[in-house]
Amino acid sequence: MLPPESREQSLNRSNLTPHGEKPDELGRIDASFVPESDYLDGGEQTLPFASGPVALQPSPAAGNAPGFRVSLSDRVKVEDGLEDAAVLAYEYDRRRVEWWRLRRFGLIGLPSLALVFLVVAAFTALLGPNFSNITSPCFSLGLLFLIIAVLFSLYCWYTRPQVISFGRAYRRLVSLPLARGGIVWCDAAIPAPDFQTLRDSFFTLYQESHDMGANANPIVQTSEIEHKKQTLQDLKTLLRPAHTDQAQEMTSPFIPRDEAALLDRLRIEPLSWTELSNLEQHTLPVEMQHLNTPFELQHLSQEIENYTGMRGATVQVPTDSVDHVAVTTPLHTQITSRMDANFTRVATEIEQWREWTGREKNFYLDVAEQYRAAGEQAGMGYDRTALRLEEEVQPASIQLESDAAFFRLNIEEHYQGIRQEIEGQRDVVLEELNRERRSMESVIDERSDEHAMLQAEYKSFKDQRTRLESSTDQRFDGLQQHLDDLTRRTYTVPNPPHFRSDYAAEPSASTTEECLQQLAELRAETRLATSAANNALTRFARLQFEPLDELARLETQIRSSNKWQSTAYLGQLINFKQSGQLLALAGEVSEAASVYLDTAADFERLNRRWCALEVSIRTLGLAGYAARLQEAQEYLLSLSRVAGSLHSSLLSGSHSPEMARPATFQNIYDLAAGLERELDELTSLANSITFSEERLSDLGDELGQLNEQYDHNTAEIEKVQTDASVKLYQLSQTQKQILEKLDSLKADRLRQIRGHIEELAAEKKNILKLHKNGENDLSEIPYVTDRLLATHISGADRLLKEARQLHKGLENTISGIVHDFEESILPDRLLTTGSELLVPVWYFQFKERPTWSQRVLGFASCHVTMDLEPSVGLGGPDRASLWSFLASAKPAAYYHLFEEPQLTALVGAHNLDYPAGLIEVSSAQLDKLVAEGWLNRWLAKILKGAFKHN
Amino acid sequence: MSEDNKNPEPVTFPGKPAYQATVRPSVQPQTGPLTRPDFEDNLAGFRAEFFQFVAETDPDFNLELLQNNPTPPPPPAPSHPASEETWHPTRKVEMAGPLRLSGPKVVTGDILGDQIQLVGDVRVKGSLYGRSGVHIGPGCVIEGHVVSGGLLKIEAGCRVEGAVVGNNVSLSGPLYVQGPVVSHQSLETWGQLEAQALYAGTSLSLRGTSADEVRVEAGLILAKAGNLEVSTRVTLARQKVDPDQQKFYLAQGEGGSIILTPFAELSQLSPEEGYRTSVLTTLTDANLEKLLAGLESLKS
Repeated sequence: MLPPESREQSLNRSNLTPHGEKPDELGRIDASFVPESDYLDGGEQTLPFASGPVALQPSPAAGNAPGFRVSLSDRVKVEDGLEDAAVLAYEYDRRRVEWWRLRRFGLIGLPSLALVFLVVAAFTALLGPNFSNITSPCFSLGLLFLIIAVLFSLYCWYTRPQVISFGRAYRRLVSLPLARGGIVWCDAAIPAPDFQTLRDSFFTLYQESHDMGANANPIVQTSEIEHKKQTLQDLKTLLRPAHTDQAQEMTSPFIPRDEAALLDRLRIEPLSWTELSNLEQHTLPVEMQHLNTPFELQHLSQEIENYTGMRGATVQVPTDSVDHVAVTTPLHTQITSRMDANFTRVATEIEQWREWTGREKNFYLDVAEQYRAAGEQAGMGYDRTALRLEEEVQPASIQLESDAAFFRLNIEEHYQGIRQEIEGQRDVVLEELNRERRSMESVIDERSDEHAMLQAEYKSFKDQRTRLESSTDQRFDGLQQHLDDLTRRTYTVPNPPHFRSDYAAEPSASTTEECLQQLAELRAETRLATSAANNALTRFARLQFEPLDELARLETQIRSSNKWQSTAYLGQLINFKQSGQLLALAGEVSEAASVYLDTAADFERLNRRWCALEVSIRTLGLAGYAARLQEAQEYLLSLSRVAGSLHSSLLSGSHSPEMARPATFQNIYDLAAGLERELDELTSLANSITFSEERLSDLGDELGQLNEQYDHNTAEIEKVQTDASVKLYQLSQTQKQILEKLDSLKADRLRQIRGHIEELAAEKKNILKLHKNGENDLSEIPYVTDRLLATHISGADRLLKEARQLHKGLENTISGIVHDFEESILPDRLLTTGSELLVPVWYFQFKERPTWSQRVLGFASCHVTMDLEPSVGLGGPDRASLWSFLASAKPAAYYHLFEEPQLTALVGAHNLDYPAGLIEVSSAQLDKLVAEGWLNRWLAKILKGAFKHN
Repeated sequence: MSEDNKNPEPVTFPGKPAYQATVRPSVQPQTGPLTRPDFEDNLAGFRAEFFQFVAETDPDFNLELLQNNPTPPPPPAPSHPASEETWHPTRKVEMAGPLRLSGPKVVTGDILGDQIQLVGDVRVKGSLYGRSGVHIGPGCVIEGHVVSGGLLKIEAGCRVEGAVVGNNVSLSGPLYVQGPVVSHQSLETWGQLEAQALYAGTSLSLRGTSADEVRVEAGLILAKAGNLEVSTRVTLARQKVDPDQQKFYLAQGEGGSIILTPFAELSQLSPEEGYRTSVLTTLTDANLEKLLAGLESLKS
């Protein structure tokens, strides 16, 4: 790409601006602001308005130019499209830089890694024999990174930004010259206000209000209703225009002065009619703009001129009003003051209506007062009449009351007397009955006490008898037992002993001598024992048992009888005299028994001794002593026989006096004597019990009779009381009946006497009630008049309020528009005809794929200046630019487009629709930009691909 | 009274004779004229009835006990002097019947009667109250109010200096009433009439020839539940009334507001369709109301 001519010049630093630029010599496409001083210094550019900015280009054709457009540079022309290509390339480069910034590390890093691994793998393969290391891990990694790098590159290529559409549109602004001087900028897309209608409303309001207040102070006296009608009609007429265009929102097409200053600072290129019609294709669609904007605006300016011209003519109009308007007063102020005065008059009239309300109310208060007075006086007339009638019947009424009181008194006295008599008689009878009752009560108490005492005694007798019965039974049993023991108890003696030769015994003698001696001793002892047993047997045979037999007989008799029958034998038992013999007998028998026991014990001892001897003899072998041993055995056998005789004697005795001791006999005597004595007591107790039972029976009978008499007395008392109270009740009922009848008769007669007076009172009450109702009805009339007048007043008030609001609103609107208008007028005029200014707005649509799904990004931009990058634009080669881009993501365009946010906001670039003005950027234009050093070659290639693609 | 009460069993006490009430001779009730003041024989009738009842209830009662009331008799009714002129009933016999006064005569004080009729030139220096009706003949002057509980009729040439209140009022002109004329029911006038205010509970009619005029001080006359018929000239609050424009049916709207419907719009209504309140007023007219209604619609 060839650099532009200017870039071939050497850079002279001294000509640079403080920002490092040299506006003209650096090949700058000059759309920058021209300093005001520069303009003023250049004498040929001096304009008729001293301080005005360079709203219009100092072009020779500027004076006749039908329109202007904003120019970015003076190198490129409108029709060659280079400007469009530069704007497109610039915006595309900005999107591409963003795309590259996100992906550059992947695009550079991944192939680098693949290359490194492959080089390492190749190096190791070269070192090894026969390239045996060609399949090393480094080679695999290299291949892997290579594949990833290829895939990532494909992805990046697929997701590169592409241009969907690109176009340019113009916003049309109109500069409107004023006949009075100055110029004003308007937005041609905003319709001019309907000033004609506004003016009509305003002047209608003025005309309608002109006569309104005059009616409030009529010279000719007309009726009140006519007044009201006229006032309301006036207000209604006044309000008519308010309801037609009230909601209309006024938008002004005038661009305010501070914003218009921006336009004045732009570098503007004059357009011929041909160029203007050419650009028409690129302006916003027709329906979006006001068709006859120049005409409307011209008309508006005419209206304003007329309005300002009217000031002088209308100052004479309000001459008869109270406000004397100065000559210099603006028209709308005159109208305002006139209308204010008129409104005040209407308000005064409404106040009069209010006064009428009060007047009507007071009048009806007077009417109601008269009506009420008529009612009250009628009531008084009734009262007077009633008073006279009362006088007529008063004596009869008093006499009636007196008679009734007299009757009542006498009747009450009469019945009181009868009642007292009955009560007196009743009291006498009751007193006697009560006296009898008291005496009976004392006798009954006495008998009851005695009865209770007897019962207690009877009970103690019974107890004593029971006790004696048990005691005698016990004694009788004890006596029987003692006698039985005495006569029938026997000794316990062992059986008689038998000889035994099988006692295991040690040899008692070790020598023959000892054996012989012991045999002798055995024989002697045996003989002694035998003789003792024989002696005892002999003594026992001599014993006499008669006393014991007698005692046994007594015992048998007592056993066979009961205790009462035994009394016959008790005397014998007590007087038994043979106890001494019985004692001796018992001693003898006991001795025999002891001898038997000794013998039995001796026999066993001797028998054992014999056995020991027998063993000794056998041991010693003393056969010669066997005879002696046999002899000893014979002795022992004889002893055994004697003991057997003694045993049989002891057992064969008819009685055994074993218990025959003095204590036994004493016990028997005591028991017999006690039994006899207690039986005597028991007999006498039975007699006492019988006597008590008879006495108790007598007392019970007597008490029964007494209680019967007492009950009878009680019944008598109750009967007397009941009878008396029944009689008294009947008397009081009769009295009550008579008195009630007296009262009712008296009331009847009183009603008859005063009937006509009561009727008159009822009539009066009724008529007064009716009168009161009438009063309430009458009070409705002032209410009705009140409501009627209130309706009129509120309606008029509301209308007046609305009229005031309307007037104020119109005043505000009109004065606002006039204010805007006057404010936006430049102090000095420049041109006598209006012209147009076309501001270009470029719009773009890029398709991008941030990840995978595509996104369409649309935006508009509005540029005012284009600047070449000096460092790159002068000497930077394409290759250096490429490396710089790869490393730092810096843009590859060598110029900079400056946006103007104020201008963007003024033309509303972001809020517009762009249906027309699509521009085809040709490859030749891009190539031309490359050739002039605006773009580098590869960026142009990419852009062509991205744009052609669509 | 039951038989048991009449002959009760004597109370007997043991050892005592049976109790017997004292037997008194029965006395016939006194029937002769009383020496005490009596009004229409009411006292005598009272005694006779009472004595008879006592004798029947308790035959043992000694009626002599009820004779001879020792209380002194009350003073007789005051007798007013014959010269005193009272124009209201003072005795019962004067209550009923018409009171007719013929003129020329001057009555000082109020007149109250059942039916009052004034004939001829009677001048009453007080008020007039007819309990069931008042008829005032021609040429009378009442210096107070005229109140009637029934029909009230005033004929031509009379003057009332107070209010005229009646149930049904009928006035014939020329007539001057200084106060309001209020009828609880209908009110009819004929001929020339001048009054403070007119009010009728039901219907109200103002009739007369074209030469007659009804002059009312108030700005509004009202017939509460009935028609208001006007067939003569009417002046309300010193302004002439146009019945076609200023006669309305009145109804009460929401919030206590008053709705006026011009008579002409509802004149085809028959009385069977219900009575409405009618007004005749100089405070407004049909055009004004129409204008206000139009303004209301303008507002909405």
